[in-house]
Amino acid sequence: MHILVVEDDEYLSEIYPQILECLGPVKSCLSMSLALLAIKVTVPEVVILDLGLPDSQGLDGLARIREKAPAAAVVITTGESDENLAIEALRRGAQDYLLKGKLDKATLLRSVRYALERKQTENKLRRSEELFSVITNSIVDLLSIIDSTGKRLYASPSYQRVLGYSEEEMAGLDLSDLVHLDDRSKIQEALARLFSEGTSEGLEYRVRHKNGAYLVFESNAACIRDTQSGVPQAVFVARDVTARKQAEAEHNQMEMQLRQAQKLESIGQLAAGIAHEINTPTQYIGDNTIFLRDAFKALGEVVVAHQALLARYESGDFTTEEISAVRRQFDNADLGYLLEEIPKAIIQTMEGVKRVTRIVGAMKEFSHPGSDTKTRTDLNRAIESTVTVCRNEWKYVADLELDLAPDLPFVLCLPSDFNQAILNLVINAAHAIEDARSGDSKTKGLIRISTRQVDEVVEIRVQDTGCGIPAGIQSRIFDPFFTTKVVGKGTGQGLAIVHSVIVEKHKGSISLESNVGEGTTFVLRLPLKEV
Amino acid sequence: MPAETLNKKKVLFVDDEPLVLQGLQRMLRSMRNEWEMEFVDGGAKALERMKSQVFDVVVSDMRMPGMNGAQLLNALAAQYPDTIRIVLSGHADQELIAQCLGSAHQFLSKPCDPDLLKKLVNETCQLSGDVASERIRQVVGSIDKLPSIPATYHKLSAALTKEETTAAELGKIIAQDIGMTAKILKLVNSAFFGLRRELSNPTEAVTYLGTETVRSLVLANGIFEESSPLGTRAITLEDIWAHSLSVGQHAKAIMRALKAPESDQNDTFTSGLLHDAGTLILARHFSKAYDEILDLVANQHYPNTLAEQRVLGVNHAEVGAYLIGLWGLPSVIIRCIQFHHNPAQSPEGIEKPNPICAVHLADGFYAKNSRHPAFAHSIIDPTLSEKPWLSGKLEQLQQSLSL
Ligand SMILES: [Fe+2]
Ligand SMILES: [Fe+2]
Repeated sequence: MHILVVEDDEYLSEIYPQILECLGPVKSCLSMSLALLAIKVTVPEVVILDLGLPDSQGLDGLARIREKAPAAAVVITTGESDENLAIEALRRGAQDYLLKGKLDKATLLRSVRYALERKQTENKLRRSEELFSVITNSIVDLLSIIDSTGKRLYASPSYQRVLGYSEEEMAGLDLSDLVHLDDRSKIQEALARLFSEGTSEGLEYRVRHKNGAYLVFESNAACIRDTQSGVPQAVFVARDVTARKQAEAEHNQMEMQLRQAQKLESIGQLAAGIAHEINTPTQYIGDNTIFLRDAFKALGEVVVAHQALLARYESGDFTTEEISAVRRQFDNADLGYLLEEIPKAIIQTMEGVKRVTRIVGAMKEFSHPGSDTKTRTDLNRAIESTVTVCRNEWKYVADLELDLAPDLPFVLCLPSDFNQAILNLVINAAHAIEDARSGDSKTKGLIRISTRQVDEVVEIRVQDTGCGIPAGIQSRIFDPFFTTKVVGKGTGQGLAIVHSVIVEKHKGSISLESNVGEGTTFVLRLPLKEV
Repeated sequence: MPAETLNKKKVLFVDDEPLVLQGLQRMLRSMRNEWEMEFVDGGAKALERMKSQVFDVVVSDMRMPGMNGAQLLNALAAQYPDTIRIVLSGHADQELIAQCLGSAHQFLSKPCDPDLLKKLVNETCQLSGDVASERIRQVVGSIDKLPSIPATYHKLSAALTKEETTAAELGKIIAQDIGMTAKILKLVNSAFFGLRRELSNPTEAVTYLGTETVRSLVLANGIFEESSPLGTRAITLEDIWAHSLSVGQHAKAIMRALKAPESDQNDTFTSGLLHDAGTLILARHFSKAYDEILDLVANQHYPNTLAEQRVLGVNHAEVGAYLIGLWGLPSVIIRCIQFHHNPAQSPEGIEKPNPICAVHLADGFYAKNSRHPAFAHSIIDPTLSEKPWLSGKLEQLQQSLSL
């Protein structure tokens, strides 16, 4: 420990070092200027300072020493008459004062020791305060301390930056006024629990920025006790998570939009396919009807001519010319063709009408409007409607076989969601077959759908002779956005929707068996008893 | 009987649904004296059949297993360019349509009005019959776009890259160009776009299709083509364009001066713009012959149509009408092209003012101020100027147009 004695009394300036030697090297200076020089050479830990020096009087000396050696403990020596001055010196950072007249060895030693100790504690405290302020000034997170009445004791400067207020504005603000009305009770409850039980969970609430927009804060709190009063205080560490929340919301929104897009896409695709399925029979219904109209006209003319001839014949008044005219008309009427084609035209027209009726009926069953609640559903029939509705999507690439168990019990389910799942699987199968046979467009693939009851479960198998799914990606095919199709074809939501419908909404399960080059079978299992 | 079979038009119907074929067969039974019809249930069979018997018209479905309609029409366009190729399909599958925008002459949608089908086949066959040369029929049959003025093409491309361009602005640009006007009207008048009436105004066409559709048709499907030099030294695309635009504007002005209804005036502009489409085709695809033709006109004072007839066996009015007819544009436009040099022979006649007469007059007025051999020799039919609605007013009409 280095000690510096600044004393112009020659006697004392010799005595002090002798007393203090035991504590460490002591340097003695007779004037302030010499002392300041000495400090430049070695910074002392303790300074014994006389306030009446030839080149420095009173508190000015203390100030000059503290300026040069701020970490040093200063002990003032002064005459009895100047006790007031000494007390003022203490207020200005001196550690202790000694009255020159009453000085003994023990008092001096004790005073220096205490001074040093106090100074060290003070330095430690200052360093930790500095550290605290460096940390709180620079952290991104928001740190605040409030007491049990809700009064703010401290708020880190980061609050100003995050909320857009200046330091002065912030000082005049009550933070709790900035919290969204709907979130205030939540904070109150959390605080109450914190103060009573000392525990707290993470909290999320909205705080108003100066510009009026609400930010989302996420915070943790801890309960501490004031060291002196023992009064509990809450330390809040909060973080502005607005950007993250927005990103999350956008992501969810996007996933929802994609699902919606997939639904719309499949509806759009279906609508086009259904239009085709309806327009084809409509075309030949119309053509046959026009033919029947023309045929009836031709036949009618022949009949009317014959009728007239018959009347003439009955009246006995007719000529052979009249007979040959009717004969000519008969020959030109294309009767052989008409008699052969009219029955066919009628049958085919009826067949066309039946086809249109079937498609329209299937459409109605497929869309199943307003079925947000689970209803007992004939899955066989649902499957039949679905494959009818999407016939145009598979008929050019595959034949479709249904093997539906006639005694299949009804299953409690959301019919339109179930239909959507079957639709996605059938379209998926058609695409897989299309991929597998690209290059060879002559042979058709096969899609086979079967239903069975196995114990308390209904099993639906959708099998295709398509390209198969490599083992490596089988685990990922139900992920949203996963697609092996070229960009622009499909949203990658098809199988994710199947998964969400069967597993999440119906507590069922999906598994698949697939061999590359041979095909894939999806097995859906729906529980008969509600879980 | 053999003579009769020779004149019969051979029509082949292709559809994967046998019931549709049977229905068509019965419905068209009444046409059996005019058409020789066959019905096959797939694209491959149609191509096979064409090997032994070339059909004048093929009417094909679009979505079929195996070879689809687009593939069939593309194959036909390559092998039998003068066969008229018509799509008859159940729904507008954009992807498939885009694949045969070039090879299909017309699009019909199911269910199809039988009279429309009959009229379409008869009229296009009629126009094709007017084009006496098989070689020219083949060339015209395989044209899927007419060249556009490069400056106009670039103007349109620039407008399309801007998000804020309106349909009206696009229409204005397209209406300045022969090739673009013809092609956009071909598209919009095909039954696939669901139009219930004929459109002859490119601005209306763009509005109807929407800027997005037009953008993708132009930028992704390349329905327009920036012209390279025509290959003849006698005439440039710009010559034809300047003439056509002027005739379009003046024909419209004539209709206005004669107090024709507004809608007829618009038809007349488009008709005028397209009236010499045949000249464009000849100059583009028969450049050498066209040099020779203009040489005959300039040095031996042949009328243009006669020179064309002599060198190619066909004239530009017939060629233009054939292409525009194949493309299914409104019949008033087709007849303006067909009869713009001899309006008296048109079904409309010359007793009353009509678009054909207006185009004929505008063409004649232009000739008086032109020294270009392709356009300088159009003479106004003298019987026309004697008609009561025109007699004594010709001079005045011409002056009012400040010609
Ligand atoms: Fe001309
Ligand atoms: Fe002309």
